[in-house]
Amino acid sequence: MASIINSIAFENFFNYYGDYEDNKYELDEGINIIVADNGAGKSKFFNAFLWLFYDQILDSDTKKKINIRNAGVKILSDKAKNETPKGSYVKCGVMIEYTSGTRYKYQIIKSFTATRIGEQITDENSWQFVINEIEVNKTELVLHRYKPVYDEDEKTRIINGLIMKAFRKYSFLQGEEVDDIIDFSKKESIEEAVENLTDIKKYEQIHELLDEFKNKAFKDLQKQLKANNAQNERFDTAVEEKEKNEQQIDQEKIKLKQWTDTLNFAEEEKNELDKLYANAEKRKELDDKLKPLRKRLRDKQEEFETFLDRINNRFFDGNFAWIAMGFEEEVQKFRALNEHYIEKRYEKKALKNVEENPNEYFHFLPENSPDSVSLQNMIDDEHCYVCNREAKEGSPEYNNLIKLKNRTKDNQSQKPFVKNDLKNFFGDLQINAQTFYNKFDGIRESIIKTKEKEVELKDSIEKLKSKIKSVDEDRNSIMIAGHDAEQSARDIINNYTGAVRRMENANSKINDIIIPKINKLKQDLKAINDEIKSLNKSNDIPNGFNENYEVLSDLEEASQKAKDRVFDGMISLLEKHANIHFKNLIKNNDLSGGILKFEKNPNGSINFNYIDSKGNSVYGSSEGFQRMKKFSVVMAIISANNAEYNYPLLADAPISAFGEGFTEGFFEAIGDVFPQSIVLVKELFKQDDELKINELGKRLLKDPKVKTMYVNHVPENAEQIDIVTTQTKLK
Amino acid sequence: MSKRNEIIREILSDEEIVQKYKLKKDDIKNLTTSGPYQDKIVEILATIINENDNNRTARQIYPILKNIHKI
Repeated sequence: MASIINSIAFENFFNYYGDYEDNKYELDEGINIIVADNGAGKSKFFNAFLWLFYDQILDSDTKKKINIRNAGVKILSDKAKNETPKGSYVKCGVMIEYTSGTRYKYQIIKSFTATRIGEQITDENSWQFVINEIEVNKTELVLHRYKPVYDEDEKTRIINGLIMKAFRKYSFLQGEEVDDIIDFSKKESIEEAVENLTDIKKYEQIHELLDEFKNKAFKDLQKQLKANNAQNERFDTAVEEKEKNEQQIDQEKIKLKQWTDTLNFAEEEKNELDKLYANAEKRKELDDKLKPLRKRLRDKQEEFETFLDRINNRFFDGNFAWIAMGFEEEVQKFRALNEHYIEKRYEKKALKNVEENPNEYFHFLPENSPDSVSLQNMIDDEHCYVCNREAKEGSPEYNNLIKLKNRTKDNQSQKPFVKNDLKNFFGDLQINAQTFYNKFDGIRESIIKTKEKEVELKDSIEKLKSKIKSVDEDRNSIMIAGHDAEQSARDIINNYTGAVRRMENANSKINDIIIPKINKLKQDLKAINDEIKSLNKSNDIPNGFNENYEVLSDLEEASQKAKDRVFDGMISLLEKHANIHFKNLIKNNDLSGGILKFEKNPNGSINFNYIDSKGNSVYGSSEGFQRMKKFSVVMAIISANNAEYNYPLLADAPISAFGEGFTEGFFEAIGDVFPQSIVLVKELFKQDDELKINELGKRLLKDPKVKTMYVNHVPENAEQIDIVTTQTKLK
Repeated sequence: MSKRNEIIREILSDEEIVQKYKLKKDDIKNLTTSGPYQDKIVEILATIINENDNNRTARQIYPILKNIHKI
């Protein structure tokens, strides 16, 4: 008998503005898909069920569940709030209709009324909330009118009938919640599932009773024996031995408990780190790649800085003489002008001096040229190196050299003949510019080369930057955060290997030392018990006491074994189912075919491993893969008990983020397990498509297993108070 | 099949019990927790299972077992 949700409707519930008729999703047996982009009402669906079953909603800001009483302002549609005048009221609620079996249909409505009493619509104090009584209505399928249910017990029964309490957690799958539902490091996690699927609790109770009865029976027997034969020495020793043996077993059990605690702790850590480990390894690999890249970038940037500094110098450095570029013509102009100037100057000077001694005032070398040291050399050598001829002492040439050497003194005695004499200034220009104008030919090429060097440096910096950026993006996309953002990849790897080592150590202590010892002690105990039994028989006491003890101890042992058989049977059934689902889930991915293996730990917890084709455990692997494993188990828990479990699945496609292959496998797999599934999914949404769904969405639309498909819309770039979710039914 | 019957059959199908108490495998398949009982061991276990379901405590059940053995 399956529960099938026929419809779900909202009234002013978050973005679902308007009454139930405006926001109604008609659903069917089979797969129902609601495609919605972020913020288009996916999590609101979950909140509707949280409200229905637990009077809570999940606060999307804090990721914490809060009671509906404290969430009125958050839940009520902003548009509805805005449109409610002061003093008026507005209703908000969720309505679910479901059919159970072939006869009845139920309607459940949870709602509250909000009266506006203040101006600020987002302020809690501006509203008065009244939670309305839960409305539960019932009708026979052949009829159309609902009749209200008044009996509180029946209301509860009807709400629970939608999804039984024990199975709710396997029925609501939202993102990371899958990880919490099935946590294999915790003994309770799988035990709880087995408890829900079997009568293991009953077996446990019966075993506990039998254990107690066995001890009572032994004490009764002992009393009889003491009364009958106080001198039976061998019996007393045997009882003493038995007690001692039991004490030893207890001690070993304490040790076992300590080591299993260590094992559990390490295993818990390992599982916690499992999904991080693969990511951490990849991250570390990328970190190792990033380090040398960053160093190379720093070096290149430094080189570029130095290069830029040098460019300035190249303007004024005589070796490059960039500043002279474009002045090629100026040299000629300068020469002409300078000659002209000198001519004019001499003309002026000549006016004063030339008449006296014209030869003294004419020479064409710049002022102070040759320099005084060179002149002294020429005087000493009696040779003019300027015109390369002899200048013997006393000759006019020699006298001219002396005169030139003494020109400063002469100059001082010279009379000014112009206001500003620029002869030296132009002379200096000529001398200083010499290095520059000699380089005219090479400047263009030197600039081109420099420019080329600049482009080359910039290029390699850009290349390094983009490489670093892409590696960095890869690195950041591998989420380690969420758990402990501060923890570095290296720490995670160290902790992971540490946990695995501790697990191995504890395992060998438990399996190689403690358990064999306990088994040995138990064997001894059995021998002692047998001896006691035979001693009992030889005594003259009512047969019933012996029989009572014997039957009860045999039953105690048998009930313990039966309990283990039932547990193991269920585990292997779960393993079988999980593997079938797992294969379906991964069939569109290129994962190599291994199997999921459940192994029982000494403490009763279940080791859940992925074994490759060579029989080795695969540690690590990606988060998506981990999620997939757990999801297979969740599905196995449902399918292994298909006769009794017939409830809908409500899922925020918990694996769709890991790729299209997984999503496709997911839709195929759920169809076989759940009589009805309602899947909210973002990844099928495509903004610029006419139907707003992508290719996979279109394929699913044609799939006969998919019974209904809706697309949610929210207006783009709208103000918060105008955000309203509307829906289109595609199928 | 009722859960009680399922439990009694599961526990008594233990190989050592079957041999020691000379139970027949076919009989075990049809065992129920309601009387009359052919074997004492069946009666004892059926009593425990039934009385546990009736929410009786160990202290309340044990005397019933002793009665079966007439002690």
